[in-house]
Amino acid sequence: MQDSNSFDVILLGTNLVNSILSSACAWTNLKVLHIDENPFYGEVDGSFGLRDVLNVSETGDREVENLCVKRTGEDAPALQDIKVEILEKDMLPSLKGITIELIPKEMYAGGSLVELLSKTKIYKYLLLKPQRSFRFYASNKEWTKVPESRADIFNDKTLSLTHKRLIMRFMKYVSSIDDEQNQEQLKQWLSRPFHDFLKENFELPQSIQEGIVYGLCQALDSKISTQRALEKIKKYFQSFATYGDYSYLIAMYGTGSELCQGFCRSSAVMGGTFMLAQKVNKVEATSVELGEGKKLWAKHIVPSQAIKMTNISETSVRQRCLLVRGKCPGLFHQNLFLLSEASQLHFVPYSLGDKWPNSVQARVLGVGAGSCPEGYTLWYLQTLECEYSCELLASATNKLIELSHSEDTKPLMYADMLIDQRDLADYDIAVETAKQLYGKITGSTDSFFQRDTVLDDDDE
Amino acid sequence: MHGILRVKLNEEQKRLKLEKEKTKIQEYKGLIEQFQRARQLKDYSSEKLKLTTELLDWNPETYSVWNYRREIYLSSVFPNISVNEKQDVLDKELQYVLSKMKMFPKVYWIFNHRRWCLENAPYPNWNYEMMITEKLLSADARNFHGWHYRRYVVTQIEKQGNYDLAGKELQYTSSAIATNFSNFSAWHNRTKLLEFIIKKETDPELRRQLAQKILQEELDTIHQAAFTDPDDSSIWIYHRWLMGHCNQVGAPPILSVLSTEERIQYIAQEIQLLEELHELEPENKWCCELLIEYGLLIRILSNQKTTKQEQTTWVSLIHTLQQVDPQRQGRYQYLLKKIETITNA
Amino acid sequence: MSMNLERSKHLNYLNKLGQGQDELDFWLKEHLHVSAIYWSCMSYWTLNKKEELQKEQIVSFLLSCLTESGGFACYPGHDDHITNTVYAVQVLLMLDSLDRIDRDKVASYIINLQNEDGSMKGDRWGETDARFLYAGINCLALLGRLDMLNKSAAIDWILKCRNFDGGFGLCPGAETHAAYVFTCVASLAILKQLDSIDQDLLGWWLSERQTKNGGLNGRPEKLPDSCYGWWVLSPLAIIEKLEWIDRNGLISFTLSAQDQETGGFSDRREDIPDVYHTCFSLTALSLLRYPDLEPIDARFCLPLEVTKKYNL
Repeated sequence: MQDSNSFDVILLGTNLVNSILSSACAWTNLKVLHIDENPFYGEVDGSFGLRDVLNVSETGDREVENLCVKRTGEDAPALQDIKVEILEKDMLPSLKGITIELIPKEMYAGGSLVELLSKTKIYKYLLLKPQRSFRFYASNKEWTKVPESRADIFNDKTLSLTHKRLIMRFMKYVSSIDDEQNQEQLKQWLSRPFHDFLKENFELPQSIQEGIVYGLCQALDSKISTQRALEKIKKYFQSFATYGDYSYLIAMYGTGSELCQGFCRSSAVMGGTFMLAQKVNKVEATSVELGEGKKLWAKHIVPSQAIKMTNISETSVRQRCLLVRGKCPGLFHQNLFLLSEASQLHFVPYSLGDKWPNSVQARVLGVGAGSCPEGYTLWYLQTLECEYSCELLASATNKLIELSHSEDTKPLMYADMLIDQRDLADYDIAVETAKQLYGKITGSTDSFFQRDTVLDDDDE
Repeated sequence: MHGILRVKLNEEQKRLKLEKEKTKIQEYKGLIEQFQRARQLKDYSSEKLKLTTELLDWNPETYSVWNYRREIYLSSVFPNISVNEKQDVLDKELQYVLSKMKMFPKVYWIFNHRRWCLENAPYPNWNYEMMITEKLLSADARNFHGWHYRRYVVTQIEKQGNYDLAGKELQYTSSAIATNFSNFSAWHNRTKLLEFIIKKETDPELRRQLAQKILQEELDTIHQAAFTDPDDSSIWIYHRWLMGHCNQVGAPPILSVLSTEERIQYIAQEIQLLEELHELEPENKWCCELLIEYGLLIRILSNQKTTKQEQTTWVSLIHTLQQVDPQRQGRYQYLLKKIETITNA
Repeated sequence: MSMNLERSKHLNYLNKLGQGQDELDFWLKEHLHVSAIYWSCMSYWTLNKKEELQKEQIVSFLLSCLTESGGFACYPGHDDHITNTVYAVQVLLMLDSLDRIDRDKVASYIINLQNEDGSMKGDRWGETDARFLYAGINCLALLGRLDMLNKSAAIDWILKCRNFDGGFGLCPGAETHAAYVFTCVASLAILKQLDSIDQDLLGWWLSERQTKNGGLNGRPEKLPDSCYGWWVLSPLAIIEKLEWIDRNGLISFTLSAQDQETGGFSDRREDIPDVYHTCFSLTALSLLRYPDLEPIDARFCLPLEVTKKYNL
């Protein structure tokens, strides 16, 4: 059936997994149709403009139901409602150019996604910027540098010589973690708490331990497993110094949405067909019925994907995105005269109050990240949802204001949402998932983004 | 020639590649022939500058083309323009050279041409050159062309202003080391700068105090590095310099102002610290070796015989060395003999 | 990975070198033409295949590179430079053809490049570093005109390039670098001045260049590269401390840089081979007494047979 209604692959939803898959299929010359019911790219990996929110929320504090993101043909929950609260209505800047990510995430500079971007040259569609894990608020109520590298350990004058040695032993251990001997010894620890693993095997000072667990691993509570924590730390160290002295990269104007668009664009360049804001009535094994009743056929139908991570529990995370007036130089890493564009700050359990056993993870974006105008910053705070999560976020906000080093720092509005913790899985897992799906479609993963590029033109 | 990845082409790909290159070869050969003809005719007209640019864009290592370019400037451009115009011409030339340096940061001929431009410029902007060295070294902190060029620029600034930049340069090495202490190029430069700074102080008592203060600070820094990563060789080479072990002829300036007793005291302190580290990292070869070397040094400085116990310790350290570092067996064998000769003497 | 020297493949690689006229890269390497002739002659010779050298063809090409100044250019129509001059003289000596040039003229070309402080320029434009002084000393020795050199100034300048670690940099003040250690130590050896350096210290620095995989690097905390086989081993050979490094480790690293398909050596296993790395990998293997390779004189990087014949 070589007609215009039949395809090799129909993909539903332009989340990152499907966008990568779409592009991979198009690269192997499969006939691809890619549909999204939302009017924008990326589904939960996407972002929205502040204008979209405020247009529907005249009083400013109503629940905004039509921002609910649809996932097509999949039982995974759609994003919960977004609740917006305006704190300083008169001080709000022009709404143009403010982009809020549904689930802000960063890429590991040494991870498989960045490797793929570089190999496929899709990075050319993106403007990449570094993001650093900057400081954490330790349980001793002090802001401390996250121990990111050997240089940090060397330069930290508060550490004793012996402690330096012990911490570096841990770092070296992580870099040789794949050795058989280490793997064998690790087996018994994998599912047990990382805290206990550290305590038993490495005599690290308290603050360093906190920096590792809540800084490098971005743990939301103390229960993070050894396996998951070590995976994260390993990736963090492997990424450090891949492109500079940082481990994370973000894309300007919203990382997830830009990534999805980049892969979709590459898919389109290779012949893929795209339909956005397209209602879908029914999805069957080899056909899709569109809103207007038209039926399309394909050998493979790929529904919207939620990243499945078995070792993350299905817990809700409260996320608050704040639009803040003020450049907040205190929240960013400074190198010579340059302020970084984006950074992470971490609040260790109990650091904000004796009764709060969960951590708060914050990402701060400056004007260089392209998501807010000059003179403003966007703050994303996350904590596990519980009865006091709002109090915890408010307290973290106050601490960040103290650290921001701007006299005029003032939160103007915030948007709260509840997200599924499984959606926080890092982007490299999306690449792996897309690759597996690609294998199912084509019978082998060998040709995943393999093209003969030897003779690509070098006349530049 | 270094670091170009092997890509194996099949026959078809080879054929396509050769096909594509055919016209390029003709184009390039044509340019080279034009160059050779012009050279033979001693044609130094300024229109020929364009030809040199084209050739250098193909290959920035054809030194004769750089030479020809300079000859054109010297014989037909500079004599006919004002001083300010000359500056403009050379500013543009420096821009061109910079674009080449960005692509080829390790080509001697390009640096050479840059120096020629600056030495011929009526108003060379050496501070701008400093910034370039910083760019070069931030891209590759070990680029020895970059360090060489930086030392050259510093000398030029010092000559012009009749002052020295040693203090500032020392700070620069500190920040390079804070970024990555495996950067031996920075440690090396530090040895030269510190020697200069100490020699500059003429008052003997002040010089002694200065040397002592510097020594203490340097030791403190190197201890932080040694405990952070005792496998890094650059820190230990620097440590040997601080201990004056590397200098056969006499103590380096940093130590020459200290009395022998003071020196012995310093070395003894270091031995103690090395023993601590050795206990934490018994397989670290630097600790083993330096415990022996510094022990021997104390004996020589104090003119005392080694004790039987010391000898036993050193021999067992050498055995450890032979186990943890078998590559250098031959040298450890030599060291063993040296200890025997010294202790038996 | 084979642990044998792929002799026939390397010969094949060398034979093909002159035939790349249909590849752009061949033409873009014009500035290295005379150097490449030296590297390839040394490679043939080290492989015991000196009889395969096309003597008349090589000599007449070299003579076509000789300029009015008495120095050699990289290719006809280019400018003279001390590096091309020493390479050309080395090859002419290997081919018993030094009588084809005016030795005095070449020697005075070299002498005119010596600066007052003893160092040497590469050409009349004035770039000065230890490579050029070595080239000059080597060349004058081959020409039998070493007496024309201002020796004491040259020695003083070389010793000023020495650093606390026992090694040498490209000029006074510069960081120690294995290639410059070679040029300075070999210069001192030719001038019979080895007593003026601390050989134990130098041997220590050189032996520390060996990395875990057996290869040698050029400076502390850098990656190994097959050509440092030569730059590090030759000074070790000169001060008779070759046994201070692990011979087998270095042999297997060097052999791993062979291209198993095309022949030739590269800097590291994954890169493309070139004649420069081929020459210095083979000469390094010879210093390591790898079986059936011609012995090399470490001071001149010439076959021992040749330097003996001319009493160098």
